[in-house]
Amino acid sequence: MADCVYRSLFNVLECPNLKLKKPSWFRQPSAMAVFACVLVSYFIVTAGVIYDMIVEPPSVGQTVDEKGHAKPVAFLAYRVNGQYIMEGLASSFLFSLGGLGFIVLDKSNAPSIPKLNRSLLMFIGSLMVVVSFCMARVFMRMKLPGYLLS
Amino acid sequence: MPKVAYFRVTPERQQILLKGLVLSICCVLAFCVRLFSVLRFESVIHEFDPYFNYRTTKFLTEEGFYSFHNWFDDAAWYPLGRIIGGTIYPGLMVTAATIYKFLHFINIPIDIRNMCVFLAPLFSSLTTIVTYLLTKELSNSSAGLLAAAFIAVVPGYISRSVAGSYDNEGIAIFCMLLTYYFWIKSVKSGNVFWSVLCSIAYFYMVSSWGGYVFLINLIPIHVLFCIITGRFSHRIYVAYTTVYCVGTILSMQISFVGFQPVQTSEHMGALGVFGLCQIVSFVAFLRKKLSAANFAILWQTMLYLIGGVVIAAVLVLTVSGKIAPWTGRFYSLLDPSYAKNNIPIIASVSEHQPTTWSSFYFDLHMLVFMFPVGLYVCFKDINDHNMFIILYGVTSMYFAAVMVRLMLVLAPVMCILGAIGTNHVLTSYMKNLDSVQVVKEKKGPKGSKVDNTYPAKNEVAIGVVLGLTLFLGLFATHSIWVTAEAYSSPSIVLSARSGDGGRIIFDDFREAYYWLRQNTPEDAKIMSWWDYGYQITAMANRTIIVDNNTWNNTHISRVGQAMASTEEHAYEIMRELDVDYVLVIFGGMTGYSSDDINKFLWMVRIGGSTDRGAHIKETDYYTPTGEFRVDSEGSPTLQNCMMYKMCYYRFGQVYTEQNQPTGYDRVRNAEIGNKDFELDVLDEAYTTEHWIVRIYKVKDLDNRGNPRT
Repeated sequence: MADCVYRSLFNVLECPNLKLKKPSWFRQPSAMAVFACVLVSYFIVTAGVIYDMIVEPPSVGQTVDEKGHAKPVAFLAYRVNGQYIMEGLASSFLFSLGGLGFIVLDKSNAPSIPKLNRSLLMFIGSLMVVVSFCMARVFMRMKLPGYLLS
Repeated sequence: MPKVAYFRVTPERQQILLKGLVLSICCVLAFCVRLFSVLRFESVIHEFDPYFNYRTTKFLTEEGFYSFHNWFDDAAWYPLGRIIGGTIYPGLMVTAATIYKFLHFINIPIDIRNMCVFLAPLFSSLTTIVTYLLTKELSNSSAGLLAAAFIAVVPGYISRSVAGSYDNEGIAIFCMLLTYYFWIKSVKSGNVFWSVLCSIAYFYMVSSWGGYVFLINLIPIHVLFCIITGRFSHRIYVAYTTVYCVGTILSMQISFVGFQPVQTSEHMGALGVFGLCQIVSFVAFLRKKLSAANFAILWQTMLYLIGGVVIAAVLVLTVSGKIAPWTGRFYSLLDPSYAKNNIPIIASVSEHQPTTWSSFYFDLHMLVFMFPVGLYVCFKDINDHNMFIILYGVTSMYFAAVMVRLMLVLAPVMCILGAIGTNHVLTSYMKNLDSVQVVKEKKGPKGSKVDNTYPAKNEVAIGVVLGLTLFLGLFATHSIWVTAEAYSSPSIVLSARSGDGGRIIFDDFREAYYWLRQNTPEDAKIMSWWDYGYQITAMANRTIIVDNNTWNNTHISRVGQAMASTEEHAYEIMRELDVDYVLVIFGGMTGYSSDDINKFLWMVRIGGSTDRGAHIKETDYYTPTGEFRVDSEGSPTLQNCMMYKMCYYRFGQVYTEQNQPTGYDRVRNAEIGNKDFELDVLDEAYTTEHWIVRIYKVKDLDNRGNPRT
C-alpha cells in the first residue's frame, strides 16, 4: 500500500541526478606546506599582533629632544608588557630568522650537495643564527636598560 | 674501551648512570632555583590567590575532608557568603594536606605554612622527570634530558611556581604533562591499561586547575587530525574511547565541575569526536563485511542522514539553551576583543592582557629560536605522536599570545620542541666530528672515504657544537637572572634600596592586617577593593565585602560606586552593606605604583557598569582635555570622591621629596589639588609606617538623626 503512495508520488516528482564529487584540486597538503603555514603564523603571533589589535599602540613612539624637534623612539622602554607595532614585527622576524637559520644548517649537512652550494648554505645558515641571537639580545637591552646588569 | 676488570661498567650501565645523574641534577636545580625569595625575605606566602588556598588548606587539615567539602564561608562576600566546597578545585589543598599528614605520620612536624610554600618547587622537580619521560616517548632519551634541563629553569614556568606561590598552576603543569605522557603511551600501545592511567591522571588534572578544558579539547583535536590524515587505527580508537568515558565520569566527581562535561560548549568537541570515532570504526567494520556496491549505497545514505540529524540536534539544543554557550573567560580566548568591550572585570586583570614580543623573549629566551626547528623535525617524519606535539605547540602558541597568563601552558611545549630541535642539530653535527669518525673507522671493515663535497667537516662541526653549547649557557644565565630579578618578589613584602645602598623593607601590608586582627571587633566588616580580599580573610580573619573570586559583578560594582561617589552617597552604600572599616592602599608616600589611585579608573568603569551606578561616568573623572590628573587641574568629581579623600587625608601637610611642596604624590609625580579637607563620615583608624595601607572607621549614625554631611 505504501508502495502505491510512493509510486504515485514519484510519478509527479523527479529525482535530481546529482553527481557530487570531491573537487580534484582539493588535496591533502604536503607536510612541508603545512609547516610553512605554521611558521608564518608563528611570525605573526610572536610579533604581538593580538596585543596590537586590542591595545592599539602607535607604530613608533615619540620623544622631544633639546631643540624641540620630535624624535621617533623605536622601543617602549622599561616595560616588558608593552610594545610598539614596529618593534614587535622586527623582533618576531628575528625569531623566525634564527629558526630558519638552524633549518638551513641542518639541510646543509646532507650527504651529497655540490661544494659551492654547501659552503654557501653553511655560511648563510650560521650568519642567520648568529645575527638573530645577537640582535635579539641587543633589542632586549634597548627595551630593558637594566637587562643582565644588576 | 679498556676498563678495570672488577668494575665491569658496561657502556649500557654507563649510560644509565649518566642519565640518572643528569636527571637528578635537573631535579635539584629545579627546586633550588625557585628559592630566591625565601632566602632574601622569609618563608612567606606570596601575592593574593595563594592566601585563599592557604586558608582553605589550613581548614582542611584542621577540620577534615567532609567539613571542607561542605564548607559555607560566611566571612566573605558579606552578606551573600560563598560556598567554598562547591566552587574550588580541591586538588592543590588535598595534595598539600596529604603530604603534610604523611610527614607528621613519620614524625617530621613541618608547619602547614612551610608545606604550602615549598609545594610548588617540589612539584617542579617532579615535572622535570615527567618532561623527560614524555620527550623520551616522543623522540629519544637525549632529547628528553635536554627537555628536562630546559624545563627546570625556563622562566615562563618559574614565574608561577616559585617557593611561596601556592597556586593551582604549581601542580597543574605536573598533572597536565603526566596526562599527556600517559596519552602518548596509550596511543602508541593501544592498551587499555595506559588509557585508564591517562584517565586517572586527567582526573587529577581536573581536580587541580580550570585549565583542564585545554586538555579535553586538545586530545579530541589530535584524534580528529589523525582521522582526517588517515592515521586512525584501533590503537587510537581504544585509547580515546577509554580516556573519554572513564575520564569524563571521573571528572564529574569534582563538585565544581558537576555536570558541565555534558552541558557546556567547551566540552562538546570531545563528545563530537567520540561519536565520530565510533562512526568511523563502524564504517571501517562494515566496509570489510559488505560488498563494494552495497557499501556505497549504505555509505551515502548514512552520511546524509546522520549529518543532518547531528546538525539539527546541535542547533536545537543550542537555541533552546540546553547547551550553554562558551562562557566569558574561554570565549575571550577565541575573540580577544570580547572582554575589552563587554566584561571590564576580565579586561582589568593584568594577567589577561595579550602578550608582547618581549614577554616571549623574556620568558623563553633561546627556545623561541629552537621552537621552529623542533616543529621542522616533527614535520619531517610525521607519525601519530609527533602530530600531537605539533598540535599542542601550535594551539598553545596562539593562546599564549592572547593572554600572558597562558605563557605557562606554552613553556613546557617550547621546552619539548626546543629540546627535540636542539638534539637533532647536535646529533647530526656531532657525527661529523673527527673523534667520532675515528671510532667508526676502527669498527668498519674499510676506512671511511674523505668527502670531497664537504670541506672542513670537522671544523664546521666543532664550530656548530660549540656555538650551541654557548647558546645553552647563555640560556641558563638569562633564566637565573630573570628568576632572581623579576619573578622572586613576594608582593606582600616590598624592598627598595635606600640612597646609601642599604635595603629598606616595607612590611606595611602585614602590619595593617595584624592591626585589624588585634584592634577590631570579631564581627567587623571590612570594605576594600577586591584585590585584597583573600589576604584580609587569611591574615586579619575578618569578614569582607568582596574578594578575588569576583563571582558577583553587581556586588563589586556596588563597592566601586562607594569608592567613586561623594562621601554622602558613599555613606548610604556603606550603611546598606553594614561596613565598619574601609581599607585603601596608597603609594604616594613611597612611590609604590600598584595602589588604589592607579586602579581607580577600573573602579569607576566597573562601578558604572550596573544599573545603580548609572550616575558614574568615566569622563567625569578626567580633565576637559581627557587626562587623569590628581593635581589642581584635575576634575572636581575626582577630587571630591571618597577614594581620593581616603588616600590623601592629611597628605597635604607631608613633605615627601626634597625641592617639592607638601603633598607631592611620588607615583603620579604631581602636587595634589585638594589638600586641606576634613572627613565627614569616616574616622582615620590606622595608617601604616610608610602610609601604604590606610584604614578608616565608618562613623555610626548621628545621635539626633542629623545628616553627617
